[in-house]
Amino acid sequence: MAAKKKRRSSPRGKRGRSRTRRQPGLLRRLFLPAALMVVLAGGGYVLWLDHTVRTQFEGKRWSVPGTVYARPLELYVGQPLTPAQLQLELEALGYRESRDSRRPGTWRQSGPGLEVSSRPFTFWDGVEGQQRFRMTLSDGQVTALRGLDGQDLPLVRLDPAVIGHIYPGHREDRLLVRLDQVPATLVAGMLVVEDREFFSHFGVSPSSIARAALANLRAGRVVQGGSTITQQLVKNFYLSSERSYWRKFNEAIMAVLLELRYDKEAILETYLNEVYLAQDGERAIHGVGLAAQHLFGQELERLSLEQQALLIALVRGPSHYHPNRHPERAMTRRNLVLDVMAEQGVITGEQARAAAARPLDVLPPRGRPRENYPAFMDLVQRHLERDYRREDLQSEGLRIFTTLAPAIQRATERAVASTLADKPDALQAAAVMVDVDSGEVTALVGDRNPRYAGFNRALDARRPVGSLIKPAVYLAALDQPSRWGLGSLLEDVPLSLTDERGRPWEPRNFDREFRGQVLLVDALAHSYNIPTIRLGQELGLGTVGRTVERLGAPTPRTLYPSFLIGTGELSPVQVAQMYQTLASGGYRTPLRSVRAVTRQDGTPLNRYALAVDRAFEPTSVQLVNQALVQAMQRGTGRSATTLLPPGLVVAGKTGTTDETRDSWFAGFGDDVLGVVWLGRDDNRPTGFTGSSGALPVWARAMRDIRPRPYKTTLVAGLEAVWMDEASGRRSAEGCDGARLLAYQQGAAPEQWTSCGERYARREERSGVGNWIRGLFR
Amino acid sequence: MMTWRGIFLSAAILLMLAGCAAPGAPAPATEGDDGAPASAPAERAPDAPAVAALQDQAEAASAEGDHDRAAALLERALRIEPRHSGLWHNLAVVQYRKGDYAQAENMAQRSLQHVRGDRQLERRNWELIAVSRELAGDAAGAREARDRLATMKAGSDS
Repeated sequence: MAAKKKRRSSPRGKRGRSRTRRQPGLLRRLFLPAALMVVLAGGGYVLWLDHTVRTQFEGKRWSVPGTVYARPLELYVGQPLTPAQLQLELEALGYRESRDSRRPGTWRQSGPGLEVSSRPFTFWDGVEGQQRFRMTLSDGQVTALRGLDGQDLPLVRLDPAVIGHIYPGHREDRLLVRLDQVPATLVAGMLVVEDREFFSHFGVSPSSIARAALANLRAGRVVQGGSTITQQLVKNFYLSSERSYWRKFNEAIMAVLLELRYDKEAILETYLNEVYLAQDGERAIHGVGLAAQHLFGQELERLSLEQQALLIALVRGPSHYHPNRHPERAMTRRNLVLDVMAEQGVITGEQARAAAARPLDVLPPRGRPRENYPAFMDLVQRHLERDYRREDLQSEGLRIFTTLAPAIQRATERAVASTLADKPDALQAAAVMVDVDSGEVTALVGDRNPRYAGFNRALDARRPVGSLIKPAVYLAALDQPSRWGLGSLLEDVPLSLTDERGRPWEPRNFDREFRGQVLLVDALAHSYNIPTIRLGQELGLGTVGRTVERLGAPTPRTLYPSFLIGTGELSPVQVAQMYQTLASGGYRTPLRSVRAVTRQDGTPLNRYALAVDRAFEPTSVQLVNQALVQAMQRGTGRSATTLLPPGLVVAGKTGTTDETRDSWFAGFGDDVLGVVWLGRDDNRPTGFTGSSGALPVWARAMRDIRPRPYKTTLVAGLEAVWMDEASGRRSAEGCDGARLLAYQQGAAPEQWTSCGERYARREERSGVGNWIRGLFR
Repeated sequence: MMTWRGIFLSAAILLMLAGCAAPGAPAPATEGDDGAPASAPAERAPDAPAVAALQDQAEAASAEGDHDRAAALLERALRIEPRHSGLWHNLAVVQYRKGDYAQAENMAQRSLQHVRGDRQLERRNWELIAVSRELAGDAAGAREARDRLATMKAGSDS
C-alpha cells in the first residue's frame, strides 16, 4: 500500500522531521554495488530504483491527518454537571471503568463519588499531567474535587475527546516517535522477532532468504518471506503487496540501496513509524506510537512488557491476531514473542513468565464510529481554511482544538431526532448551540440525521427568518429611550402599503385580529405584525437594517417594508450570531469553532482569541430581552413551559414564514443560546409554526443542557416602573391593568393615570419610595 | 501626536496598571460605600478556587510578558464565571499590554457592565478606557472618559 506519497515542500512540514542522516562517501559506496547491478539488470533500471528510494525516503513526509478535539472538560467545585453528562463526556474520551485506577484514562466508583485517573495531555497553553482524583456530584453540580491525598483541587482539566480527523485520500494515521522514545525492550524485541541480523546484514539476509526459499520450494509456492526489516520497509513504502519473484527482486535491490544510503538507526526509526498495527474503522493505525495509544490508551514510553510484546506480535497480522476479535490467537502469539525475547536474552525468563501470565489488557473496541459530527467538522474546516492550506490540514499532523461540547451536542441531536421521529421524512432540521459570552459554537446539527454528512443546513440553508427579525426592529426603537419604552402604545389597525413589485399589500397579524392599540412589550412578546411594521416605518427601514447589521447579520441590498416581518434570508448560524449579541447584553462576539491549533508536538501555531465588540447600549438590549422573556412566559413561546424545567427563565422568539414553510426558534438562558430551524429542502409548507415545530426541539435540548436561568435583574441605568396597559401612562401597583416594566432611568412618561397618581402620593408621604426595585434586584 | 498631557496621563496610568492590574480580582472598594442604598451588593463573594487558580497563573504569564497565555488563562476563567467584572478588567489590561486598545476598551466596558457597586474597579476601568482611547487616537472619547472619572471622583468625595 501507499505506493505514492506526495512530496511536500511546505516549510511547515519540515520542522522536527529530519530523521535521515546521509552517510559520508555514499557515492563511492554506491558505485560498486551499482556496477554489479548494471551487469545483472541494466544500470538505468537500478539508477531509477535508487532515485525512487532516495527521493521517497528523504522527502518522506508521512501524511499525518489533522486531529480534531472537542473542548476539554474542566472540572471544579460548583460546576454544573449531571451524572448523565459526565458519563457522556467520559465515554467520548474513551475512559473506561477499571478496578485499577492508577492507569490513565480510567475511573471507578468510590463510595458516593467517582475516582478518576486522567491522561496527561499537551494543550496549546501548557501541559496537564496525569491527575488522580475523587469527585462527587449532587444536585446537578460538582460538590467535591480532591486529590487522592485528600487535598482539594481547584481545577482539573481532562484531556479532550477526539471528535474526528482531517484525512487526505488514504486514511493512514500515525503519531511520529523518535527512536530514543521507544522502550529499549520493544526495539530489541522487534529485532529478535522480525530481523535478528538487522545490525549486520546489508539490507537482505542471504541465510533468511535461503531458509525461505527452501520452504517455498517444498510448498511449490511462496509461503514464507525471508524479509529483513529493511525489505519490509521498502515493501510498505514503495511496492504493492503482491507476492511475486519480480517484486521480491525489486525489493531486494531497493533494500540494498536503502542500506547503502542511510544508517541503521534511521531505517529502524522509519520502520517503527511505518509499520501497520491496527485498524480503527476506516482509519489505519500505523507506527508504534499511535498503536500504543489506540490499543492501550497509553503513552509509548509507559507500555508494560506484555503490551510491548503484543505490539511486536501484531506486526505479523493486525487482523489475524486482533486482540479483541481473536484473543486466544493474540495471546499465544504474544507469549511466543515473550519466549523469543527471553531466549535471545532481551529479557529474563522470569520477566517473560510474569508478563505471559498477565491478560491482554487492551481497550474495548469503540462502539460508535468516531467520525461523529459531520456538520461541526464542516464548520471547523471552513474556519481553518481561512488560515491553512487544505493539504497541510490533511498531512501535517496538526492538532485542532475546537469548541464542541460533547454533552451539548448529544442533547441537541437527541432533541432533533426525538422531535422529528414521527414527522414526515421530507421535514428537515438544523440547530446551533452557542456559549453566550464566549461566542463558542458548542453544538451543530445540519440534518435531521445528525450522522449524515450531506447538505449542511446550519451553514448553507439561507431561509426567510420571519419574526426572528422583530427584536431588531424593537431594539432600534428602544435604543431611543426618549421616544420609545416597553410601555409605549403602538397602533394595531389595518394598514395598506405597496410591496416591492408595486402592488398593494395589506399585512395582517397571524390571528387576523386588530387590537386597536397594544403595548410595545406585548407587540413583541405576541409577535404582532402590524404594530411592528408601523414601528419600523416610523423608525425608517435604514435604521432597522443598520441595527440588524450591528447585531451581526447581513441584510438584503434593497429593503422593503416586508423586511420588517422577516423576508430577509439568513442561515441558522447567522441567526445565532445575531442573537448572541442580544443574549450577551449588546456585546457582539464573532462566533468561533476553533480555540487553537498546534503542531503534533504541541507547539502553538494559532490561537483564536476572544474578541468583543460593544454593539449596543446594554440597557437597550436588556429592554428587548425583557420582552423576549415575556414572549416565553405569556407570548408565542409559552408552550415551552411544559417542556422546560420549572423555574427556568429563558428569553426567546418564534419565527414562522409564509404558509409555514419555515419554522424557527431562537432563545437563550444566561449562558446558552440555541437556534433551531425546521423546513423542507423543496421549500414547501411544513404545517409547523415556530412554536409548534422548532420550539419543542429547542426546549427538549435545553431540558438536557440545563442552561443557567436568564437573569432578569436590571442592569445599572434601568428601573422598574408600573405602567397602565390600556393608556400607556404611569400607574402603580394595586391599580387595575398595572404592569411592572423596565425603563431607562428617568425615561418613563410623566403622564399618570388617576389611580397611579393617588398611590404615588401616598407612597411619597409614607416614604416607601423605591421599595419596588427590590422585585428586580 | 500625543499631547504632553496625554503622555503624562498615559505614564501615570501605566504605573497604576503595572502596580495593580492583572493580579487576582480587585479588592472590594473600601471607599465606595457612599450612601448607596443598603440593598446594593457592595462586597463581592471571594473568588471560586478554580477562578483564583487561573488568575494566579494568568498573572504569572502576564508578568513574564506572555500575553497570549495570560489571555488564554483568563478566557478559561471567564468560561467558568462569565460575568466576573475583575476577570474582564484583567483581560482588558492584557489587551492593553498587547497594544490592542480597541479590545482593551471593549473588555473594560464589559467589566463595567458587571461592576455592581465596586467603585474602585469602576474607576480603574474608566481610567483604562481613557488611556486606550487616547492611544487609539480618539482624543474626544478620551476626554469624555476623563470627564466621567472626574464626576465619579467628585461623587465619591462628597
